[in-house]
Amino acid sequence: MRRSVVALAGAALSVVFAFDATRAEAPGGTRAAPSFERTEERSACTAYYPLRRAFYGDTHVHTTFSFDAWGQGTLAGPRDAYRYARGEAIGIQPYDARGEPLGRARLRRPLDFAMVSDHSDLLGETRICKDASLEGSASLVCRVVRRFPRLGYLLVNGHTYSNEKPARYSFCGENGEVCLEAGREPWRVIQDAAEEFYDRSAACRFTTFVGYEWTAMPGGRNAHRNIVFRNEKAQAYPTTYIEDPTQEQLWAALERECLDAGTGCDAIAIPHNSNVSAGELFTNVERDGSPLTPETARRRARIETLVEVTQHKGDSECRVSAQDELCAFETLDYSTMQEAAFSSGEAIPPLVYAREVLTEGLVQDRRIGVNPFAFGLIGATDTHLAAPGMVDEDEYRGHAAGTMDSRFGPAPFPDYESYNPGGLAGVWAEENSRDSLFEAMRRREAFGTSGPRMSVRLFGGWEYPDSLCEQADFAAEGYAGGVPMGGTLEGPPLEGPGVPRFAVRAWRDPGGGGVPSTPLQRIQIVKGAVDPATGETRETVFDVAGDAGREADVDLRTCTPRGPGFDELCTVWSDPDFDPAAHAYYYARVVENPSCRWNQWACNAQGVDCEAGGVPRALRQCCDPEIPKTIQERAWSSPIWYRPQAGGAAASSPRP
Amino acid sequence: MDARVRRLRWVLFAVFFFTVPLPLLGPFDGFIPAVRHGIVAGAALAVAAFEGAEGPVRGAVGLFVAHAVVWTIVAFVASRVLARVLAPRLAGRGAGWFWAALVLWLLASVVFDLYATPFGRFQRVNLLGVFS
Repeated sequence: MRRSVVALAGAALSVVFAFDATRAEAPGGTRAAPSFERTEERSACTAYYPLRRAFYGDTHVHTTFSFDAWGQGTLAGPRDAYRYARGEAIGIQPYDARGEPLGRARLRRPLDFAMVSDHSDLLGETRICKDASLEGSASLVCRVVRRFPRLGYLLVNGHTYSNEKPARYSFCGENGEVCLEAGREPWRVIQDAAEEFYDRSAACRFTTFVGYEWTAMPGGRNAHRNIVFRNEKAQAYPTTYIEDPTQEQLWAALERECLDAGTGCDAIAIPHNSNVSAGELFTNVERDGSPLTPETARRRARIETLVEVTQHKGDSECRVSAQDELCAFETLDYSTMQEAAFSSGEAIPPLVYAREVLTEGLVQDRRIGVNPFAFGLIGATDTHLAAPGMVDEDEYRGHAAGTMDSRFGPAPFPDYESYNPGGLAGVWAEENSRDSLFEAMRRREAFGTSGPRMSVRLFGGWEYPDSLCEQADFAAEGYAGGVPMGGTLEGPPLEGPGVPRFAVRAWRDPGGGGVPSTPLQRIQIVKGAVDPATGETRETVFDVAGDAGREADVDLRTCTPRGPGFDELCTVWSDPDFDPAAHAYYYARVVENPSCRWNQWACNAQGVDCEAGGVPRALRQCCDPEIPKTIQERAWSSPIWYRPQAGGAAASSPRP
Repeated sequence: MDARVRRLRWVLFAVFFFTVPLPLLGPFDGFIPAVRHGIVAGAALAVAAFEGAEGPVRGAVGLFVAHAVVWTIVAFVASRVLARVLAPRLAGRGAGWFWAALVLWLLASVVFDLYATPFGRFQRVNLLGVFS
């Protein structure tokens, strides 16, 4: 009976929706009531995709309002960031004596959405130290910051972000009120800029989100989160690490001032850089060390629906191991940012990488009935140049915070060799509007890329036919017969073979605008599971489409990809090791053929010839064999979870 | 002690202390005279004394102060040793060569960007930039 209902629904959907939601889908079709709630006043988008399409954006952007960005010479503000994201040229450092920018930057392909996420903690201090007319500007701290910017960065960072007990400086007055008051103006500007650049017309060309970064780094252990507000209703003042130094306090503030305030406010928090968290970000115990409670797990799962799995400061997908050689991707070999300078040599502790944390989520779900770590995966840049989406390896200009000092102009080698331009967030949504994009983030129907605009769809169900990839209504069948990425399969069903089937499809970056495009190499499915008998966890990687054995490479002199690859890959795959009693998750990883890393592009642009010799000292990294010259860009889908349930339904909606 | 040797010692100390670039060891990539090490240490120490030396601030301040003290001592010892070595050789034309070399060094330090300021407003600077 259940099977016939599913088949009828699939047939109905394939008739109603004439176009499959592939990259080439045309908008329109029959517009049924949207699957998302409209919470704002705006025109309906002319371009509406019932089967959803991929929109690309960057939710991690710092401007001159962030202390570390300003200290490294960034004068571009939120409005400049949004102009850049829309494809307009903006001025960047260095600046001349009159404050005019000597550098220019332009995104060759505009983004669909972006969010300025300046650090909430020092909004006021940054403003005060910049503005001589404000109380506190003549303080010792501000004078040192202006006279010795990087020393100021070091001291302020150590006093606030890296401090287990962060505090405001004395010039902030009693209870920090002088600085908190001064911070209201930049917070207002951030919101005003988001409103000014949000296209509320039917054209829906560009979407902005109001947001900020809560920058906790106790003892140097990264616990940062970016807060994304669904619409213009945001907190009166962003939560800061100084006033609310624990994740529980952050969640409580978001619940009190937004989620449960009854004002129509909604928000999610996106953790990032778990690779340098030393386990601080994803904790599987209560603050007092007692076992995690269902209440805490539910709170986290409600608020932290996505994780930034890749960005400028390294990749956080998985631990380097012999079992998965692709985990050695943009890896930082230290557990905290402080160890980048003063290495302790200690091993990286557990619960740092997304994959092992997803697995821990299964363990907790099995123990307490709630998965605290049911998060989707996205990418972002963490640019401090106010340049959202500056991810192209061939035009990387650097990062501008605590790294190469871009006040002096783009260095010939623009960044530390261990860092990278960052990635992008891909969101499967019906239209380019805040409500549609935000709900996709909330239900975790999102994916991350390491920069290129490849796209990936993943569906999980019980009865997908092997021929699904040849069908024109791939996405319609995918939705009708199961759940998309971010969803949960509960089962197994009472009828049928009882083994989940995963339909995955990926498209290469189409290029355009002068941006190079590299063919796809393969698709993998990564599975994590908990043995129901022993409680042991296991993570397995399956090659499901494409060919890892092909001899594709790249000409390092010209950065031209060589060898065969794929424009598109698709398959329907069944788990050969499926245990219906075992909690599990599955996510897709799409890998491109090798291409030049940003450093090789930079070295080629400078005409470096290591064999000829005479390489300038500033470009000596070009000839260092330890620094990788190529990478394999990639995309990660959000997971689909499997939750064993006796007599459960064939499919369920995404878990909260 | 010969007054000439004492004067030579102080001249050499001034040269070492104010003009000879010495590294800032650790993660900060600096190459500045001992006096600039002292200025950096002084600024960091002042902030720490006034606002507290919580977290990694204490370690950073300690690093800067150590550099300032060590390089000042090195400048002092080097000036004494070099004065003792040079003094017998600076009679007559030897003195002329010494002062010519000194002037050349000072000119080079002002003309060429021999210094890397880790915490200043400019990255590579000449001697004037070190103190600007």
